[in-house]
Amino acid sequence: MGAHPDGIALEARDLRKAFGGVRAVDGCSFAVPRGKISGLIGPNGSGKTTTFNLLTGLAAPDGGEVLYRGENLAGLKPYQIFRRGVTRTFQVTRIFREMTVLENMLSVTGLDVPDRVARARAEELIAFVNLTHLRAEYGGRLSYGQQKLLEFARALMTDPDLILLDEPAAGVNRTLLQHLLDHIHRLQGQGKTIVIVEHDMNVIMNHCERIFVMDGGVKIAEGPPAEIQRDERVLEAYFGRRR
Amino acid sequence: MTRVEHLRNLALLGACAVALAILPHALTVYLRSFVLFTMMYVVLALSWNIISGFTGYTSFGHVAFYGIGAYACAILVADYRWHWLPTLGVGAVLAAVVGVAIGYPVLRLKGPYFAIAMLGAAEGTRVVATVWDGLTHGGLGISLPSAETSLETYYAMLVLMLLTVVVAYGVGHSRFGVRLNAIREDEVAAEALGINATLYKLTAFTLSAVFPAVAGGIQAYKVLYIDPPSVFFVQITIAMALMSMLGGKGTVIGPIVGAILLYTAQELTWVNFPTAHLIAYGLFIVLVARFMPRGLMGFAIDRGWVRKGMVH
Amino acid sequence: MAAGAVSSARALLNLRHVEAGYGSLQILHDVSLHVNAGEVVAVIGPNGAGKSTTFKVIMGFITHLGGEIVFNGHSLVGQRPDRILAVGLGYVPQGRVVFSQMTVRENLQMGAYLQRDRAKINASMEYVFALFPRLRERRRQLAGTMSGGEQQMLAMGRALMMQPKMMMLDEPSLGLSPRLVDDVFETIVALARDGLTVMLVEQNAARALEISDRGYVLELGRNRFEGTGRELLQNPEVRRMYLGGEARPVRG
Repeated sequence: MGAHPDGIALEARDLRKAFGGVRAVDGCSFAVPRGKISGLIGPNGSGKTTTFNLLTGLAAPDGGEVLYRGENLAGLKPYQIFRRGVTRTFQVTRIFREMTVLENMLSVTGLDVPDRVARARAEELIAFVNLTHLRAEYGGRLSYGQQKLLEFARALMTDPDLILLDEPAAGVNRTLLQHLLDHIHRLQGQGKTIVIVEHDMNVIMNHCERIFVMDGGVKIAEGPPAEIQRDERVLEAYFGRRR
Repeated sequence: MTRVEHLRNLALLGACAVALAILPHALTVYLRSFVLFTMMYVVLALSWNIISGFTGYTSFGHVAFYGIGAYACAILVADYRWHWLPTLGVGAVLAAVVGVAIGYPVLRLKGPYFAIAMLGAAEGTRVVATVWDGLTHGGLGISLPSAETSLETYYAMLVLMLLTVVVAYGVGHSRFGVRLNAIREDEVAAEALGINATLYKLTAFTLSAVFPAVAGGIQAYKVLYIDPPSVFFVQITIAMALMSMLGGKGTVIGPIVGAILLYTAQELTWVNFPTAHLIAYGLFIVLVARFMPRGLMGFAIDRGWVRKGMVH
Repeated sequence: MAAGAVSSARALLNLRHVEAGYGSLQILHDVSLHVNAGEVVAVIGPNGAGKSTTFKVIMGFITHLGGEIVFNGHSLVGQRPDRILAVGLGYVPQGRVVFSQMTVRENLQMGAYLQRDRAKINASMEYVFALFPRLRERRRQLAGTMSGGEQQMLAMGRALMMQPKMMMLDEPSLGLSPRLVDDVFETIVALARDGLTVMLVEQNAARALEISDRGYVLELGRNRFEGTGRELLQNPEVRRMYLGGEARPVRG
């Protein structure tokens, strides 16, 4: 296992991606610190989700590299990236609608354990997100927020090392969100690396150690929350007026 | 499903097998044929369901594999004096090879494009059979020498059906099946969960090609005459699809129930209303699509008589 | 019942003991609420509580299983959604659902689909453009190419085209950056000042309660708490169970 030097879990170097004439990601570079919770923020349309797609293989970059454990992930297929220990959730949920909650959980690969064990783990995670009473219900019947919770639980099935969460708070009740965030901190305590794309500033400012700010397809700022909150460019582009 | 439930299902299957094994001795030749063809359609519907129901790639050209199996048997028996049983193996292997060859490019297409491409593939196979008359006797067809009693083909079809049911059941209650479903539901998300969609699709497709081929071979040896239009008959594909959909696409019992009901209905209308039976058939398709789009099993699941999902 | 609230008998929208669900899955077991003319009412609660389902049963999108739904004197039970729109109820579904292959202008015209009077349609469009100048700038742009915030504005504008007496907004701030969230809430306040009655569902519950006259907390398809916006914001149990323990979000 080739570990990246300097305590970096994943590095994006000069990523580029255009759709038609639109340059969604235009030379984006950043280094995600290992074992910490990082945030990726930016206005709608700044290229955050496209960046996630480039990191996880859902889109192939037009240029640039994605370095993880000494390997360039750019150009690999999503299932290959998943098998290297990188999982993600989606902004617009992509749970399996005509399959039950339990089946959604068990559709994940890479579980080289007997069915019994896999099932127990699935039930545990389902209970964690308060969906036990719906375990035999079709995914499509869940509310939006419940689908987000299911996706979160599903992403944790294989105990991945690098977890990319795309707007995990959107549509999720604030109290349950605290519960999820506590768990994210526990995962971090186990040495995992987490990157969160979010608009909810409570989540970002109170839970992330490092924040990357994107606008117009590039990173415009990075640093700890205290610095970012004071950064003029960021405030202008993103927060609008201050209270 | 618990181990007990699996054993119960196995026992049920065993009981059916025994019943069907004894049955032909009590039946007329016509009824024996009827049961044989019903079993054949169970095989076809279950096979179609693997790629179209579980995996969501709706094929309108599966009759191509049926025809390949029929021709493999006919050519080897009539022109090369093979015993008919090994020809079934050849048909299966041939269908698998052709399945991979066609599947690899065609499975990149989505939804209606895939369906139409498969339709084209079936037609293409029919044309090849017609034109390559050096091998297939073209439009003249092939007549097979008869040495069987109607019991040999009956038992062969019974064994094939039991095998297909076991495989379909295995797919439907395994992680493999859950992943096929995931591909059907959202291929992108499935890939993001580590499922190598290309490999899984191709495997499902090839699996779904093999059993119809063997069925085609048995049928050829039963009917003793085949030609391109009779084995590459588009109505066979429609029947496979319709039976699976009527019963409930994406379930295990659905295609079995659908095949039995529809084939019986078809025979009854054909016998009683020889000219009107196609109209009745068409009407039936419309009614099913309108009132039971998820098939009989879907209806039962919605009412709560059957549990949802494959994994409980 | 909080002091100062008008009795539900004269409410614009009145739900009593409503039950609803999807096929075999019943979501609402016993929901009662009312909205008086000119109020802003927030509906909050845990995931799966039935908040969006409440909107959908009012609009006639899902199976009504029991209870009364009365709007401006008309019973809405069993009515088709287009009839419900015609009696003056507007609805902005969750998730910025716009017709992506149509222009902004066309989307707005679709919002006025039931309106025959050309003059009224134009007047509505002018009103929407005055409220959202960005939409006027982009009126020939395809809706699918706009940013999330612009799409949310468009979805709201489209619902306003029928000049509804009351608007129901399902998670209007979902997925929007903080500045756009401010914009959306300011717009809602402006619309309320103009006399529009508003009911909104929000996971951003604290912000929603700040701008609301009254609120309801739903849980497991039933009523749990109700009161004025301020009362709910200050209720420690509500804060703990539904607001994440915080009364005020951290501002950037």
